[in-house]
Amino acid sequence: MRQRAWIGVLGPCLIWSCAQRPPDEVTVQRGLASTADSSNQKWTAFDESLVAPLWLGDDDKGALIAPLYRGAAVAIEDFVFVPPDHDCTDVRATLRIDWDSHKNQVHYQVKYKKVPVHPSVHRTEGVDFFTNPAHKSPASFDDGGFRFWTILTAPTGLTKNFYYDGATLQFVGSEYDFPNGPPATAFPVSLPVFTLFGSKLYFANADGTMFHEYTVPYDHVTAEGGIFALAYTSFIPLDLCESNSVQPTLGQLRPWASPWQPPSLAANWKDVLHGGAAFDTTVDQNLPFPETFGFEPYVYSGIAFIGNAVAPQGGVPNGAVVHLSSIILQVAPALRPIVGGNGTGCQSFVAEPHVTAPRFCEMAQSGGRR
Amino acid sequence: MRIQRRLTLPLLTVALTATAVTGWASDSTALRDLFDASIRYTDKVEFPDRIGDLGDPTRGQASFGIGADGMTLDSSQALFQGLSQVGGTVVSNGRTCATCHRPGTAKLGLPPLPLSSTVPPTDPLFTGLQADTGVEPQGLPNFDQLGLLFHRPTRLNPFFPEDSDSRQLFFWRKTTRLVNTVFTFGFLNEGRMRELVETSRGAVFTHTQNGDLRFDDLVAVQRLQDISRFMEDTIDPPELQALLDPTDPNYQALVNDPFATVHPTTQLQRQGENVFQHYCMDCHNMPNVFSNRDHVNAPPHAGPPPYGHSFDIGVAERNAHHLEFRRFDPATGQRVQLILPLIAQDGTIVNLPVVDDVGLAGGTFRYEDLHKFKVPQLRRVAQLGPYFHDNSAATLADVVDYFNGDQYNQSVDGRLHPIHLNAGDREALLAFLQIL
Repeated sequence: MRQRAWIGVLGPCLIWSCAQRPPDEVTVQRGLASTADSSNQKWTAFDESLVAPLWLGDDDKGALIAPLYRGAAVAIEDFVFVPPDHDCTDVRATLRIDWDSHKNQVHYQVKYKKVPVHPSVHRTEGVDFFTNPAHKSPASFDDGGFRFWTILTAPTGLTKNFYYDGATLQFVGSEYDFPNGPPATAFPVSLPVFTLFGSKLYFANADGTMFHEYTVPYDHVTAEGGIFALAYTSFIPLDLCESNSVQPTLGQLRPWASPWQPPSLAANWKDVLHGGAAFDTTVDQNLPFPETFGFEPYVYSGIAFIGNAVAPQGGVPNGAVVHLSSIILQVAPALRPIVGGNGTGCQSFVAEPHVTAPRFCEMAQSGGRR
Repeated sequence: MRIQRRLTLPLLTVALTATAVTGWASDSTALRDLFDASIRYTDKVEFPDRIGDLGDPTRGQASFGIGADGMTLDSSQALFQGLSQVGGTVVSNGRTCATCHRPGTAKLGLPPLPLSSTVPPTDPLFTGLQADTGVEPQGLPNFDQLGLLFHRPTRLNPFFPEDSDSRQLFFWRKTTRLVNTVFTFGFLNEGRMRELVETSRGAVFTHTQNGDLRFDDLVAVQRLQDISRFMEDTIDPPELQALLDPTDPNYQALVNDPFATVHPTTQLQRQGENVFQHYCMDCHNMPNVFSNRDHVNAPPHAGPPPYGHSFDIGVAERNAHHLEFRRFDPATGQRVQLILPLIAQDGTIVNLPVVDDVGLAGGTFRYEDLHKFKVPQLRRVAQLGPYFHDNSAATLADVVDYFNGDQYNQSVDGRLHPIHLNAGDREALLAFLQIL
């Protein structure tokens, strides 16, 4: 197995010097080490040169080192953040995750450059913000912070029940909203969900650099702090009449997230490695919720910034994005250039909005094609 | 694993060094090396993409278009048509899977070329051809004479404008003979499909009706699983079945001895086995099957394609049949150059004039996937010609001579896995390939 061979050669060099190795390899090791060394939180030449994920080791002990780019891993209806100067040329990050099942540790390190010190978001209803009762994130805020997310994108067959009113076909809540059972007039629709878990809020240095690290158990991969395990997320129709079950991307798809789940539901890191992991840094409100370690009630803000999807070969290059609608529809290609690019003059935008859709049920009643 | 142990670290080392020290990030060779090393493969002999018991092979054979005798074509349970919620009224062109994947000596592939020598013009093979070729005037001659079908890999992608170059991209591909399909990772010639249900669904949409509409509601997943299971059962020789089940008493023996089910009887064949082991098994390394064993170390749907490991061996760039890759414009009768915007590993967009088969890049739009194709399995290979994705090698001797020549050895992956055979090696290798 490639990963096992790699850790044998590279692994020790990530920590110790490799003076006996050929010069070219030493360069690599120093580069890797500079990313690995948590005492060196500054952006290095190696960080600058990293353009593809590196996988080291195996499921039990290894590392992932990956470049992160603005807008590379965003979800349906995410608002993609832009720096105030609209220059995304140097907006970058690198991620290093080391795992060791014997030490029962998964250690995250994320290093950024050129992020705004006081990120603010101002959105307009109906333009770049769409009120969503299933996901009550704020339209606007000032002086926010950042949060790092791991999202498992591979289909697992896991579903949750979503309830719709029998008369209006409107979404009335998920199984988490009705612990004592749904309203008598509601009926359930089972839809696939995905899992995500994140870090605490963190903030940029005055020079626009930023570094954050934390450790979670290998056999119990929780959100940072361990209070919660994960949350479920999905994209659901709020109005079933605007839904198309045959080809969901033709219909309405709005973000939904469950409440935070207890630590007992935390995943094993091995499952994360096999779960099509994607990563994103969101911009979040700076709100004190000490009882939940700073996690807002809406779980994730939906304001995407810097990330990557590392499961596909090559990850996502700078300026590209995994196009979720193509993934859902299983059409090629999965990668598309992001709106406006990642150079000077970059813009904020709403990714793949499916806020409204044709009224399929009424079209069907009138004999029209869906 | 041989290829990775031998190559990955030096390649990555050079590439990283180059990018870090000299700012060589724009060099496509360095980027390709980084791209190749960036995936989490495993070479474990496992087949997590199998349909297995989710499908019924008997029902699958019927849905495939083959009668209960296993030999005759029978479309009675194999058509996909009707009123679709999303596709409107879908009228079948009479084609089934078995229209192109014929049973018997064709080994679930096309009959001998030219096709018109044995297939009447009234056969759905020809009458349904417009579903594939549209207005392309070379569609019929290339299919009849060369056995190459006109494919548009992004045909069903509604997110591209219909007349965009990205949507109109096309290439010419052989119809793969379905032998030991279950032992390969990724499907179609370049491996752009991840598993067989996905593959079968795409085939139904593209080969059985004219137009670019999907009709998912007429293509039940269970039928696709049945068809997939039928294809998975085309295992030859039968003892390879043991590779599918790690608890099978013969599993480990077949994994440990890559030639356990191959039985050379002459000195020349034994010599050929050695030649094969030395020169061919960098890529053809699946024990006893001789496909490629690398696959993503996760379920097939954990990420976008590809799931297996593809290579650029120069066949696409050779374009031995001088195939046309410019789009035909029926309004003017002229050919129009297609420009494909491929995303390079450093994020730049490479606007590529399409002059040959772009290979896996046609499914991923990654520049580093340009001209890459899947490693085919080799059991019964003597009966599976013509060879390569474009049927450009008529015989096994042509294949061996290609790999022994400059075109291969100067190709992207040929430089990494050079092959230089003397006359004796060549003769021995051909003798060995004949007994696979």
